[in-house]
Amino acid sequence: MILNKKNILIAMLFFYLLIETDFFKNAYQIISMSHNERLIEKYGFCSNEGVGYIEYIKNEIATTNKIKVINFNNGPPLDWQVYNTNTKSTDLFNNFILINYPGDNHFKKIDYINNKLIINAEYDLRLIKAINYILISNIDIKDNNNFLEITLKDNQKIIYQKRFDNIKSNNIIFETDYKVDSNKNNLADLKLELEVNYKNLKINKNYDISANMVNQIDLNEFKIINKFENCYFITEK
Amino acid sequence: MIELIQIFLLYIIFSVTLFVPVNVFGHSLKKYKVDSLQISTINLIINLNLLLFISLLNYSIDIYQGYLVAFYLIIFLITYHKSLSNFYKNYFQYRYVFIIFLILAINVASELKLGWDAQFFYYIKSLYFFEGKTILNLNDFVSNKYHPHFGSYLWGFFRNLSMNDIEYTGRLFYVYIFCISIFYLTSKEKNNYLNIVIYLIIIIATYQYKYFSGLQDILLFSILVIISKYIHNYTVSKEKIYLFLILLCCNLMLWIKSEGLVYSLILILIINFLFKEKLKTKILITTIFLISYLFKKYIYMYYGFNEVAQETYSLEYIYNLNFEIIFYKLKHITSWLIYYSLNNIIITLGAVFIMIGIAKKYRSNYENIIRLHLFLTIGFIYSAYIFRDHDVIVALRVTMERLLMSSSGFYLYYILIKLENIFKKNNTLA
Repeated sequence: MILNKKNILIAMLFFYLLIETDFFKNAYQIISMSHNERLIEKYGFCSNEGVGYIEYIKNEIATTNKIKVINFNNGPPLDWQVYNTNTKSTDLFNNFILINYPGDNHFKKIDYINNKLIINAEYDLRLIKAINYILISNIDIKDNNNFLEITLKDNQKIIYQKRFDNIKSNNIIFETDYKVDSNKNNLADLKLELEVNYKNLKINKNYDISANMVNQIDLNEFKIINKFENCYFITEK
Repeated sequence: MIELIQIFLLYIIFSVTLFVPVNVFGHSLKKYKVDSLQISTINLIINLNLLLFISLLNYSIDIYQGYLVAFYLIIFLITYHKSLSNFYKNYFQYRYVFIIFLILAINVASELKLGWDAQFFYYIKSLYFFEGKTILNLNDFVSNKYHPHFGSYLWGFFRNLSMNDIEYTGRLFYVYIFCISIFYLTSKEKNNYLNIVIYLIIIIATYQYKYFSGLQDILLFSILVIISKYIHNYTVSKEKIYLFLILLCCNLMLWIKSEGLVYSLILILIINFLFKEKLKTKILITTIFLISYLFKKYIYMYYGFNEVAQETYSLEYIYNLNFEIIFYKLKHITSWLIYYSLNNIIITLGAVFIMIGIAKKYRSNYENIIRLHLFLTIGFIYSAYIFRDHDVIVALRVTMERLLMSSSGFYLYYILIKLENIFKKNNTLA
């Protein structure tokens, strides 16, 4: 008999695996949608990693396959989407796809990880030219006899330091002249850390410290070939 | 629909790696008391080593792939033309592997998203092989230095065999090796029904899409699963063929991921300290391993690869470590290790059975091997994070789960044996 106790247990386990892996939905999608459509559904068109936009540019617009992708969201570089095995690591690129481009300059909250304020070299500094200023907002003043000092360090070397005494405002701007060293081959070597010391103030380091950054790419310096929301395909003028 | 047909066809292509060059029904290996499924895994290991060797040559896949497929087809026909009915019968025992492969392959084909490291390294490397470049051209890829190439080569090689060149088709070979390794682990000549139930339970307990998102850890896991059964078989039969097979597996791990070197070293240490073999044999095993390691070094030098695989390790950092930093790291490593171990059912069960074994003073050779392996693996995990010049918490969060997952493959067979013993005892009592 096909439906004996043993077979029922095996069937139940198979059924559980089918449900667990979304088998029926997945099989339907594979039959009804193309690989490209599924790719866009998973990665987004111009949102998230913007793989859909990259595919669109690659297949419909671009006349060259020497393109560099810059994603302004946190995440790994999207070079894999346009990677050309014929290029050498020393080759220069004139064409760029920008995903989630936030404008010429933008605010970014500074990550507070392991009791340290870190400006992530790998995912932030590679995208910017300079830091205009550090903004500390929503400061809770407990006493007028107070101070606030910030120190910007690159691998323990102090590159910027400033102190304010007797603060009365809830928001303080520290203007910096910090510029990313574009000659540095490996941005991962940069460990930009922000130290914030204060007295008689209350600051939420998790939320209230951000940086105004100048983007590496200024659209005015490029020719825009295609634009969709905040995704761009640009080339050097 | 084409993609589904393609998945089916790829399964057939992958299956060939199990049936040639050694005839699974032949008598050539029967003197070593190995069954047909064991010969299949031997074929798999041999074929992977052969592919590894070919990948090291400066020839494009496009040049030799057609010849290789034709060669395998001819070998297959020569080997099995007289025993086709036997072959079908044998092939039928893999029906559950096929069903599981199909289910998991459809999951991979639908999920599609590549893991972080896969986007960074492995996919791009596979692209080189897929687009007809060779190992030499990997020098053009800036991040080539971080990990060996073999997993990416397999990805590119099998993608090149697919009809529509879709990226995930190459990754399906990882799914296949995973399915086969677990199947091999759970297979026994008797008690067929229970084996299938256990097979399904292990697949359910261990499968997660993220492990198949182009990351290489699942390959290490699968190879360690196979090794764990070889080691057990060796302790039972003392057949030297298993030593040779373990060496072949170690050779594969060396070329898959940096951790592969450590896993291999641990196995070589175990062979030297706990295997009851003549000194001459142990020296031979160690020498062969050293030669394969030096061969890798030579290949890296020959192709001009940067040998500094991990920039986050430096003697300067190790010299400057002080007690405060070590204590800070130890504290975090321990807490994350406990957390991730508890989330990994294989590690948890394995640790429980090992502790029971210690408490009950079990002293079998196999038990000692498992204990030493766990001890050395934990030692490796601690030293890897202590000596690494990187934010320890970020490193632990990003890598420890995968590290435990890949190493857990070694304990799976041990757990099965322990569970089997418990069931046997209960049945006897009943």
